[in-house]
Amino acid sequence: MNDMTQTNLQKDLKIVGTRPLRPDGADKVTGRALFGADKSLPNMLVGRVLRSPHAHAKIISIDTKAAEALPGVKAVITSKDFQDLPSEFVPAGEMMVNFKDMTRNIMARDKVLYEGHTVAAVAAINDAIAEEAMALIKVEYELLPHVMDVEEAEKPNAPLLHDDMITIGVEPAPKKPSNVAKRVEFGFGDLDKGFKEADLIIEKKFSTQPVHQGYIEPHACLASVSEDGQGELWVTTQGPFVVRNFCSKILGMSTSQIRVTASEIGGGFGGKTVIYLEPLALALSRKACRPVKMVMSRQEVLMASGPTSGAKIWVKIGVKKDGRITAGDAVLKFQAGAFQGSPIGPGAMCAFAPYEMTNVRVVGYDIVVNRPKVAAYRAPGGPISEYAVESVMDEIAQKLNLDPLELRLKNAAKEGTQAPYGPKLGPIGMIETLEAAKAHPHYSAPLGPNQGRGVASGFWFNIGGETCTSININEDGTVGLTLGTPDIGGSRASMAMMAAEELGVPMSTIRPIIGDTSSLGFNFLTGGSRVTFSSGMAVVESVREIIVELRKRAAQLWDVSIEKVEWVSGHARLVGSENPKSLSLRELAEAAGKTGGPIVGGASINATGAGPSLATHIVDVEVDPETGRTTVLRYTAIQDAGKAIHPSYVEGQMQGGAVQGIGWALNEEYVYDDNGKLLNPGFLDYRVPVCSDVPMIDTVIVEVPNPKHPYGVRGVGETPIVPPLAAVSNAVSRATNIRFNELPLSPPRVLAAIESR
Amino acid sequence: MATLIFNGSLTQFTNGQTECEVHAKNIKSLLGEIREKFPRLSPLIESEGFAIAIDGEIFQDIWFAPISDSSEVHLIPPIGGG
Repeated sequence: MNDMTQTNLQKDLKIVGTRPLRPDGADKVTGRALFGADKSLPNMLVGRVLRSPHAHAKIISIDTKAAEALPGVKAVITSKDFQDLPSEFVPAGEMMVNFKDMTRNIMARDKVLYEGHTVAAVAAINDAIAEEAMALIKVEYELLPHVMDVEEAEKPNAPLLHDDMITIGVEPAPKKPSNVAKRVEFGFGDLDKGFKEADLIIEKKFSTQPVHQGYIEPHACLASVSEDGQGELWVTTQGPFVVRNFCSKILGMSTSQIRVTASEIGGGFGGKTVIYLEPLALALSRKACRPVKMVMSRQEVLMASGPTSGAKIWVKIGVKKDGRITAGDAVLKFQAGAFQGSPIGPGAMCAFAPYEMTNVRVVGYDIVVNRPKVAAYRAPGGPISEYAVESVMDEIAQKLNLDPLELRLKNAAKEGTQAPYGPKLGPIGMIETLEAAKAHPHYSAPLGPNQGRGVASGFWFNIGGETCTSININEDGTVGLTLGTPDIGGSRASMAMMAAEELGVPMSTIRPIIGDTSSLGFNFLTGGSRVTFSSGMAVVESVREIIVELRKRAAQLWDVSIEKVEWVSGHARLVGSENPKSLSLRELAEAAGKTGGPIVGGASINATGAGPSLATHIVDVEVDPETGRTTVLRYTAIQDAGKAIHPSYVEGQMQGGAVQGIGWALNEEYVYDDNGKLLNPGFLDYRVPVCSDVPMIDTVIVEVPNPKHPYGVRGVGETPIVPPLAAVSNAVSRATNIRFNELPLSPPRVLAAIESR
Repeated sequence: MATLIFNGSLTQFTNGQTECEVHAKNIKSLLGEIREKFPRLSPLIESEGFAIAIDGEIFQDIWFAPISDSSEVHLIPPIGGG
């Protein structure tokens, strides 16, 4: 909990809101930055993973003797090397994870539940020997029928993944296990009454495919456990503290025995909030007493690390002739992958969240299937549920001959609106983003033949959470700032900017670094668009604390009370004296030894008050009627950032989210054969957008300040992936005059619809 | 007294009750009061974890956020992100 006065909203800001170069920029563009796979240690071994070739099978036996006897092999591990943990839920990314499931996901125990599921791992002196060793491991399987689709998986006779899975959220609890892990329901009002009042009701089914986060850098880590049991882990991750906690629990080590250092990160988008290789590398290193490096191939990333859910969705919306919504109802069925924990909760909560609803219900199901366990992906669940609702909204606008932005404005949620999940919303920028979209030249630009324009809005909550920073005034008055949240989107720059703004010094005098897990107290991970909000609050609190200390030191030197000293533009100044006195930060730093020792500060908070961010996107597409190929011609993303600390990085988040959403809408999908084997585990066949696929993404930052943050910040990283699915689908529907309700809108699907018209 | 509101499927565990008055002055005491008044809800809260929204502001795993007599309080699933 935190109580930070919002003293800076009206202040004449000198640094916040400008676009300085990022502190990590030179290292990134020169190749000096060290990512997950870039670190090496003397005597390091190579770790490799043996994965299941089957989608669903019992493990009858694993014989590792021949592999262990191979010269150059230093350790082999299987599930026998990990304790079996009881069911216990802990927060990770957007969802609660269960240690029983986690330990089975990182290393299969009695069954393999998807192709690529880990069954053993080896550490050897080089790749070739590791490969040879894996071929010598004999695994005997008993094949089981598998299920890939949620509607198949929920049937009573479906192959059962977990024979102890009783659906949570149903009262009385079912007597028999099933693949339905959880049921959730949100809503209020009287649906029957709402639909009776409607002049138009549209009811549709939708489907979306699971899509991968598509980070360029694969999972990678380097573990070193010494003979006395002390472990070091260098890893590409969104949450080093979370990795430490998960690994220590799984390996039966104390938290202090593992020190985790987050490398530079080549994208995460939620997919690096969980663990895969890390406990394996630590276990291999512990067994071999040598450092072990493990790096996933792209094939392994796609086969065995979590995508977000694919889903089946049903939506029904009733409206009056003037477009006012009278009722909204939805059912969501999300793939969880092999273990429970899809983002069904937030997905259901978001579905109608951009709108003021009087009668609303959303029911959601979390369903396990024989696919890799899903992981968080930007605004987890939101893009899926909001795609369906925003598609129906567009169809309503067409049927009622209403402007789609006007329809949304008529129903837009605002401060005081009761969200479909219950609480009343604080200040939000839905109306402001819609007004900005209406006023944008893009919205009134002419369209050509086979072209269509789509719009859609999106909502995401944003979060706070446990955060800790420290700050040191160096001997020359420069500043060291240690942060515990890995920098994925430019947060070191934003943190340095807020610190510089508060201290009244140039940003170049602040050196922000990401600390390891031994240098700071616990920090929740970088995710949920929380870093600029939460770490920003901790930074501001740290600096304010250190300013008090600096005033105290100056008061000592001037022999006055601290109340007589103010802090202005990086200087302590004597208040109300006829003889003005001033001490710079450098002068105070140089005198630190004489005035009480090093000047240090820090803050630890559990940040609350994150403000939701809303966005509205406009997209123009052209559909080739002969091939079904969709070309994105123009794209404008408009989003409420609260306050953009560094506008370039806010724009970067908006552009990145939009492009990932375009990929989700147009091309990305996993293709499995009838045996549950992935046929496209590579970026040639799993088609993420590249630069030549998209136009420049134009951005408009709207600023409706979040009153709970000292600079008005809202998170911005999640929301921009929410609107593109529906915006693109609506544009394609308008270009072809065919309503689409399945993603991706790949050329074969669009062409088939055109040809069957 | 503050008002605790149950949304959607939670009412299965409150005998259909959609709201009740609570004496709690912070989240810690609220959780105790919920356990006492709605014992069937407790296992769900323990296993799944819940966030508490007080007058629209969401608190996750924070015990000492104050609840005033005029507060409107909701139990919602924990929220994270990517």
